[in-house]
Amino acid sequence: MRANPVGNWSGCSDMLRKLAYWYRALGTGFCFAGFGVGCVLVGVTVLPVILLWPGNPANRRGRVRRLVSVAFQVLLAAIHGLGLGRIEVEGREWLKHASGRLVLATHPNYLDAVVLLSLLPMADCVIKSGLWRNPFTRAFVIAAGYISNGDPVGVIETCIQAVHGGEILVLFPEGTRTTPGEPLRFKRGAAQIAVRGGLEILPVVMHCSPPALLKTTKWYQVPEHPWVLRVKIFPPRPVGDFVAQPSPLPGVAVRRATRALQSFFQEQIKHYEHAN
Amino acid sequence: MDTQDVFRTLKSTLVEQFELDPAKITLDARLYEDLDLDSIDAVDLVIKLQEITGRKVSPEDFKGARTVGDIQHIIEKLIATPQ
Repeated sequence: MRANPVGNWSGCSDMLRKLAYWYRALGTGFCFAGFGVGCVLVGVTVLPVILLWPGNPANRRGRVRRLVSVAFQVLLAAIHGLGLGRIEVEGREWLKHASGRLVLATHPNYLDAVVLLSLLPMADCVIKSGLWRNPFTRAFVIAAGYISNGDPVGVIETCIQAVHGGEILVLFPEGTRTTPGEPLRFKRGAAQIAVRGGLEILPVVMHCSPPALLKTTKWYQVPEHPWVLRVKIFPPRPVGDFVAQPSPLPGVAVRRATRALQSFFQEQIKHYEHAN
Repeated sequence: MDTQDVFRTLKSTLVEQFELDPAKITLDARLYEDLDLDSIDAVDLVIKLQEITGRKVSPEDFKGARTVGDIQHIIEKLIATPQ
């Protein structure tokens, strides 16, 4: 029996869907590979020049951070241009107030650090010590003077000093990429820094729909549709503002702040999940 | 201070400083896994124990401590040695 015309059409659109899927999987691979190659090329050409260019260590670090930021902007433009996904930013004006504050963000996928550093070229961030051993990223994280999470006690003090010195510090309180749909689980590190340093927090809520570039999937497992990464930036406020019951004991205050920040971000993410 | 006193003091310190459930604090309770303490809490605890015992306590003394019982032993040894 011959298939009816409607069946033919649906077969055709199935094929188109498959083609589009493979195109985006390939495109994603291309971006990963391109980024790796780009790191090496820039690492042996531009990086040495800006490191050797006259200036004090702070100038040099600033130049490297701007370079990283530009590289990330190029990567995001390529992702957008290839139609793999797009980024929507809301509340961009608050980024002007990020200096001397702690930027806390959710961590749904690989790209949120890329997006934040592209938006905040001068930001400092705490990066897992593994990137100091990764041959593609090693030269950049050292030259940009980012903070390693290697020493858990020392890193808290380093972070507080950086923010008190007027730096913008970007942190992901979850510590690692989390599984979308599951409740957020904040580690205490971000609250340790905020509470002990008496810092103001600039919250950034990021949500990717459909979920993409997860910890649990391979790079070629792209979602059914191009993803949208929504970035919402909130006005800064003191960490104490999030906590209903303050405590003079740091251990208790840090635990309460961790829970309060976690529920603030969870509330915001709920809005996105309901919208879908 | 006898062993009972040391444990009671340690327990109330942990409950007060880290909002822990008193029922969870037993001699076998593991500091990191069961009580969810972290390395910064450990620094706070050492400072607090120094205040309570009046002895000079260094974080080094607690390096091998894994459980509440380990900490109790270390405190007992500290207060047994003359100042």
